[in-house]
Amino acid sequence: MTQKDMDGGFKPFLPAADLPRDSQRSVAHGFLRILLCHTDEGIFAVLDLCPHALQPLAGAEVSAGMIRCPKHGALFALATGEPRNGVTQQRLRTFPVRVRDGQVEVDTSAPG
Amino acid sequence: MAASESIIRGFASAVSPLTETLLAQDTRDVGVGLKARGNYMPQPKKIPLSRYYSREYAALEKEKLWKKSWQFACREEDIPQVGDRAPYSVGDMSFVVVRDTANSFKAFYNACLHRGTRLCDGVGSASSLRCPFHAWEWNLDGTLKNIPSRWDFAKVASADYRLPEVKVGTWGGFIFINPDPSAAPLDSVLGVLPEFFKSCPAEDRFTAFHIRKRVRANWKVTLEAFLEAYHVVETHSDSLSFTGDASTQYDIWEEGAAHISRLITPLGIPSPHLGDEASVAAAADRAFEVFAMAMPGVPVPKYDPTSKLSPRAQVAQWRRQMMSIGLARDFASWPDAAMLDSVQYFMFPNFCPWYGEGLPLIYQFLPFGDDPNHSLMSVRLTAPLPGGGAPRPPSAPIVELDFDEPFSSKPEIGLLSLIFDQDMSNLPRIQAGVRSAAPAHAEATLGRYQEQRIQHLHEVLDKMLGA
Repeated sequence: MTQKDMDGGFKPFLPAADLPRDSQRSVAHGFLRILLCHTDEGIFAVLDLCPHALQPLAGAEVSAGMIRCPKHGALFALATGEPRNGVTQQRLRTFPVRVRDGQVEVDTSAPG
Repeated sequence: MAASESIIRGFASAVSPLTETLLAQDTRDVGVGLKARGNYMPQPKKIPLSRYYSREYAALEKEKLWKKSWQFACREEDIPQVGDRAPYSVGDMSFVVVRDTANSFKAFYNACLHRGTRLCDGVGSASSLRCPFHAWEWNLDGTLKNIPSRWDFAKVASADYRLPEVKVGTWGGFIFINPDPSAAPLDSVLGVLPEFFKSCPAEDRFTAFHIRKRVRANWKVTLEAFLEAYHVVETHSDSLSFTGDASTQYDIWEEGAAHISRLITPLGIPSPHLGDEASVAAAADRAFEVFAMAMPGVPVPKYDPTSKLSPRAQVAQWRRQMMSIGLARDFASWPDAAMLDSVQYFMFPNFCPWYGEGLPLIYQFLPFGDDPNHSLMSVRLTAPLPGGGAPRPPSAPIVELDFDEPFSSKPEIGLLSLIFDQDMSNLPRIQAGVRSAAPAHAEATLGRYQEQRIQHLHEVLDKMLGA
């Protein structure tokens, strides 16, 4: 197996230095956006689109491994996207994320 | 309207003027239609929510509206050859539209005269209309062609067994039907449409994409979600950077039996909600990006601060150039508004043709089956016919989306699929909410200016239904 195969679909999204702890950044991905959140538990990548009313999540409150949509209060586990309250039964899409060579890389090819 | 009533016609910011100001600042003459202003303002009145779910109200609509109205059934290019046919179903009524000669159309009740079998389930073609059950068969003009075992139907006189017809009318490549045998001609309900569309002829366009989406909401709930831009600030908040939602202009024309309304939502300008400091450059840049999404591979321009053109006019100019090249047609005289803005007309009861190249759509909203809690929304994306003598492209095949299938499952329409899904996410909630409203507040309260087209729809419905 080559290094490329092992890397799968990871692509650099932004320099890790631009995403300090307790910050978040929304990065364009086609006509959608991906929200990168750096928490005490690490860096998480989720679709910047709450599945409840399809609104952007950017600016959402992030705490205790969860993200709360600023619009209508849907709450999700950052790591898995599982809904954590009853506003929606739908999962928030998540993506594998890692830091390599000073870059935050996201695998957008994975079914998440 | 009461003489003393003063209506505030939209909300502007220092950097995002009202639509009428943008039209006056257009780099081209915007023409008769975009200059024209409506002649009517409906009376403010609350709307009983029961009419969105009551079976009695739906039955009344069937009798007094759907059996009596001119309705868009299909486009001429959907059935280009003699013998081609398309079904048109509204609630549990169904008709079949047939091209019976090269340049004429007929529409029939979509039921076999033998035992009632539906004759046409989808777009198709044949030299006759033939029932799949026992092969009773009619010619394209509706005359009886054949009954197998004719000896067994000695009392059936062929002349009495023509397929029952309904009225057909055409305008701009649209085929309309009306089940009412005493209906006035189609022209009586088109109102301002033929005049206003002369500068962007609908007959010179074709259906490039066609989706039919089943929705868990009454047909009026679904329709009304698309008659105002008031919902943009909440439902499409990610579009505010480039959408003049609060500055949208609304007009209504009442002319006899013609009930037409229009909204013009300017694009490439920030929402007035974003305040006096919002960036017009960012609005243009986002508009460049959004329009470029429909043209993969084309480099996305940026706002040029050295240009004499306004940011919005720069986007329009680029659109003219790209479309002139792509379609081998000349868009040089087209106003900025016709290149950028969402100009949506509504013809009562359920038909929305859009004007120009900003967002060239056709909407139709239909009761679906016999459940007033369900509807069907048909969305077509149209394109101008290519110039240079190229043949007319065929209509796109119909994509059917079931109740729980999102528009985003069909990525061909790009960003539009997200916008539609945002609207769709509201609709079942509205349908559930109207059924569980507090008895003392089981009414819709409409915005005086921004929701006037919904008010108008219900005013006309009240008159037609006598309810």
